[in-house]
Amino acid sequence: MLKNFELSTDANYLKRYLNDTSTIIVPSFGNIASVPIPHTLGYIPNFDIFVDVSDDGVYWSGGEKVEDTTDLSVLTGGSAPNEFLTFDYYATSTNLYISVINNTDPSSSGTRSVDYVVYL
Amino acid sequence: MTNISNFILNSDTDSFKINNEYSGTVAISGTVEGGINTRTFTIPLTTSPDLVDVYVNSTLTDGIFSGGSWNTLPSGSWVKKGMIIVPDDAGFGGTIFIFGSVVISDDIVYITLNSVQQYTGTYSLTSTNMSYKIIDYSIY
Repeated sequence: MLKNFELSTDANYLKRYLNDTSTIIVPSFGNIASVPIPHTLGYIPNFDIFVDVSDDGVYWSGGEKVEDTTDLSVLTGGSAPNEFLTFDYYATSTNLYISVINNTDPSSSGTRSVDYVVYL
Repeated sequence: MTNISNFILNSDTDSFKINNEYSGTVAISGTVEGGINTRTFTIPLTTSPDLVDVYVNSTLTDGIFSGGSWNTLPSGSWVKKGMIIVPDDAGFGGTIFIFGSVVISDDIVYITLNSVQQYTGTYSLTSTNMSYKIIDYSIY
């Protein structure tokens, strides 16, 4: 009985190695919070992250959401955009790190969901 | 028994295939002055890519300035977007170049770094290496 069947190919497919959802607690104003995601590959893998930047169920690739920077009223005492969180991500040979930086908004709080993918 | 002479796999799900990987090192150097300072690196590939990812490694920072210097990311970190510390003679912890702009034109990849200097002087940079890794994908 055939129990295992393995295919090899010369085509170097992008193979998904690790994917999951993580949660980051938004730090206080001016601070950074990081979550390490361990992998055991021993080399720098290809990776992607997707972040629910505003905690509204909309995920943004790379954690970058375009804010309305054309509103110059902030320079004359108006309000800054509701959210101004920056998400960074980088990999070493042992971990994928995802960080959130609370740049400008003292009222930002709670948690944000991050989907990540590490490829072989 | 019949020998298999042809064997074809089909799938309704498209896959990404890595066509090629390129790597190399460029140097960020020269001077910076008040306003926007740009460095563009031209990297020729052997074929025109469908889609690329670009990763870089250098003296990376998370952008936090504390105690007269910039925080650095762990040694050996690679990013798809980020900030690079380039030492200079201005005395403010170094010039920060922001990476994140990649343009493909035929078989050439352009990687652009930008730095915004808020003071008017001209300062010399200490040449700093940036390694890159370019992944050329196609849908297969």
